[in-house]
Amino acid sequence: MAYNVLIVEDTPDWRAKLVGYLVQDEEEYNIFEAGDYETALQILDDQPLDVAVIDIRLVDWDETNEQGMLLLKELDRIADVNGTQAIVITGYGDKQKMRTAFRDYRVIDFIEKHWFKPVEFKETVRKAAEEAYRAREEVIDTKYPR
Amino acid sequence: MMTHSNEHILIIDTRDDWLSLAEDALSRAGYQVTTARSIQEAKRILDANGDHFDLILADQKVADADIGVLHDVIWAEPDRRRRVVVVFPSEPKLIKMRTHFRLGAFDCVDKQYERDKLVALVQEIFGHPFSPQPRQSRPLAAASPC
Repeated sequence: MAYNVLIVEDTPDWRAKLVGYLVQDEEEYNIFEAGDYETALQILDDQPLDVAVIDIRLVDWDETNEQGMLLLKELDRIADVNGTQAIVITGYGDKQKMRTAFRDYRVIDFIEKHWFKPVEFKETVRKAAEEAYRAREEVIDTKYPR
Repeated sequence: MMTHSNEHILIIDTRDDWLSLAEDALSRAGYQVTTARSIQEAKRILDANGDHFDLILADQKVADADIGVLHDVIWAEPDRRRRVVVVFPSEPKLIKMRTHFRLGAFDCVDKQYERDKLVALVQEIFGHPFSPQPRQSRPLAAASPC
């Protein structure tokens, strides 16, 4: 079974890097890419996702941009249905954003780009995909008891 | 402010002055408070009382010093780890916060040295939509001796 993974990252180099690591992984993924908020929203609406990897600042030159946090909020709204799990990746993390992401949006991980380790990233995506599958099964079992 | 609540709080910290302040402030606010001066002592209390506590406030330095035991007694229990809030005595490093969140802590907060702020913090934790719901009041069993 291939898991559906969305990568939301405005910097083309980083996006290519993240996609590349997942393409090489032993797990099979259908990868969707978004370089901006609007494209990401469209994919969220169109595709049942297992994992969303989300950069917080989606316009690199704009220090005030936190559209990734808005996507987390949107994802949180639909996550109960699809079981979608979120992973944050950012070059501009701070204490409050990390608290909000973990506590309010229940993300699986919050990765600062300067901590980034490919092996850890791949493991985290795998773990998130399995968790999404488990959560979805739970919803199905609740709605349609066997 | 008296809340007349039944919530039980376990505080794990080595600093007697802060333990006294926290115990006094939270008891006056209506919470039932138990203190432990080490993770080992907390382990004995938790082993004797199962899931008696609605909230566990664990000092970050104490937690990090004995993270293996903390893992065994708290993180290994899915229901228990959502009750843990890690209290950072100084400005937290993001990587440390991430470690505790990834292990399952509900929140990571700054240590409050003023009574009102501490009570407000605890009220905010219990008021959060994802915080564990308080359980029925139960008597506390004595921990077995070392």
